Amino acid sequence: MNKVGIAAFGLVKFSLEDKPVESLLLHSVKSLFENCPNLTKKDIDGVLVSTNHNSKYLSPILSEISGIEPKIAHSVENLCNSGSNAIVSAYSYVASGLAESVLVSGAERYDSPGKILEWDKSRGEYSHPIYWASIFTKSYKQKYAVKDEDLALVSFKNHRQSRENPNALQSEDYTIEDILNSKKVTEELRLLECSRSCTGGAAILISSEKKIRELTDCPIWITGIGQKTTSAGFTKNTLFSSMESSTIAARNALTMANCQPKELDVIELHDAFSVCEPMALESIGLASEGKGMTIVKEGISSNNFKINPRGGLIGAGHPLGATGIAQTIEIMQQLQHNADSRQVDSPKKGLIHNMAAASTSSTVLVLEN
Amino acid sequence: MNIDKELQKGHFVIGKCTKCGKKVWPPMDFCDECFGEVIMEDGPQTGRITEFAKKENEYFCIIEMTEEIRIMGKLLSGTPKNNQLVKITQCGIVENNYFFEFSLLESANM
Ligand SMILES: [Zn+2]
Repeated sequence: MNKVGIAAFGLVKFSLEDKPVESLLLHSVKSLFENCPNLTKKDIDGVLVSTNHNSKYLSPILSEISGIEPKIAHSVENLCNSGSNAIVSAYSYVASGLAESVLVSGAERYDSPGKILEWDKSRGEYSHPIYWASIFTKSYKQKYAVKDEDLALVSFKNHRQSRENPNALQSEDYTIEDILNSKKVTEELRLLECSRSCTGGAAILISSEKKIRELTDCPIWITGIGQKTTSAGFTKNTLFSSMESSTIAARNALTMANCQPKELDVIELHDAFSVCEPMALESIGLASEGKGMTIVKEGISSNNFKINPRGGLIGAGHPLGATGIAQTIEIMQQLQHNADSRQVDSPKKGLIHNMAAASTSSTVLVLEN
Repeated sequence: MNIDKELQKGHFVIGKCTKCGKKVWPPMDFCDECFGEVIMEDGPQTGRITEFAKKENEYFCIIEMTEEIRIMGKLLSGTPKNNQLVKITQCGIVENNYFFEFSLLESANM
């Protein structure tokens, strides 16, 4: 297969601003062009838009307002992992030779309709994500004797790390007590343990090796991709203390990259709620079942930014369609040694974990410099 | 196949494949196993709690019925335990959302 990598990126600060989705998409593309002076509009063969927004025909719209006339233009929607799905689609176009460079732009508004999957009627009145997250939390805590005080560490770490991320939604420094004393949204979940839907945008340029060499001196390669969808409905899950689709996606991505979990230097994972972080670390194979919190605790005691350096979804905010792209940009910047105060020591391999709807669908990417 | 009409009347129905007999939930036009035609039939009235959590003073549970049909609903009273037997006491549609309500069956000691 042809080598495919990331040539450029653009970011729009996460906020609670009331901006049209088209404007957010355009801002992300403008930022990408500013970050990549050698890029011309003629270089772009494909424009993919990742969002849950209800507007139609957003890729052609973004192309028109950016002055691009691509061969390929369409949207990608898959709830919270729309972004990484769009990157995989772009990868496929480039790897197959159908395109040399595909621009992927993700954007979301704070009032995104993507939080609720209306089709999933089996959840009854419990359609909001806090309910599946509460079930996960209850199950995980009980099975592995994990305490609220343990899970609060995820939020503590990610909020703290987000203070070093200039694009994050919030930059509050919360104590463990603040987190434990924050509003109980359910018996299992406190408000500060939940990621917050927000407004934001992120763009990335996926290119062939030939094109990448023309555009940048610091190419980052996509060496592993794993995806798995086990169902759409939450009640099809049989286990609530582990994430099957994430485990399969991670295994496949690591196999494709010929990489062992312990070789990973930096990881962005989908901490939609605090419990998702230890569960994802176990899915990736960095900890055995029920032991994911060990890695979170190590990160805090050694003050390294290896897990969720930009603050994760909990710290940085969660603009659904932009999240997977922003995660990928963070790993790209880390591997380029360009992550300022969030920089981990000389990373060579990084991983992105992005999932949707109670981990019924997961995407995992491995990047290398 | 209009499950909504039945649920609106408070009647819990599920799908059944006319070809292979599989119970299909949520009911769709065809079976997810063999694409056989699906017809509606009365759903089970009881199930076992597979997991639960609590909001304010209210427990919400996932219950499993025959053939891995699972739904999520509210427990009307009592303290749930995993694997406990419950009865579907009410179901319906409010504001375009399904709802299910369960009560513990006292005979269901573990
Ligand atoms: Zn059938």
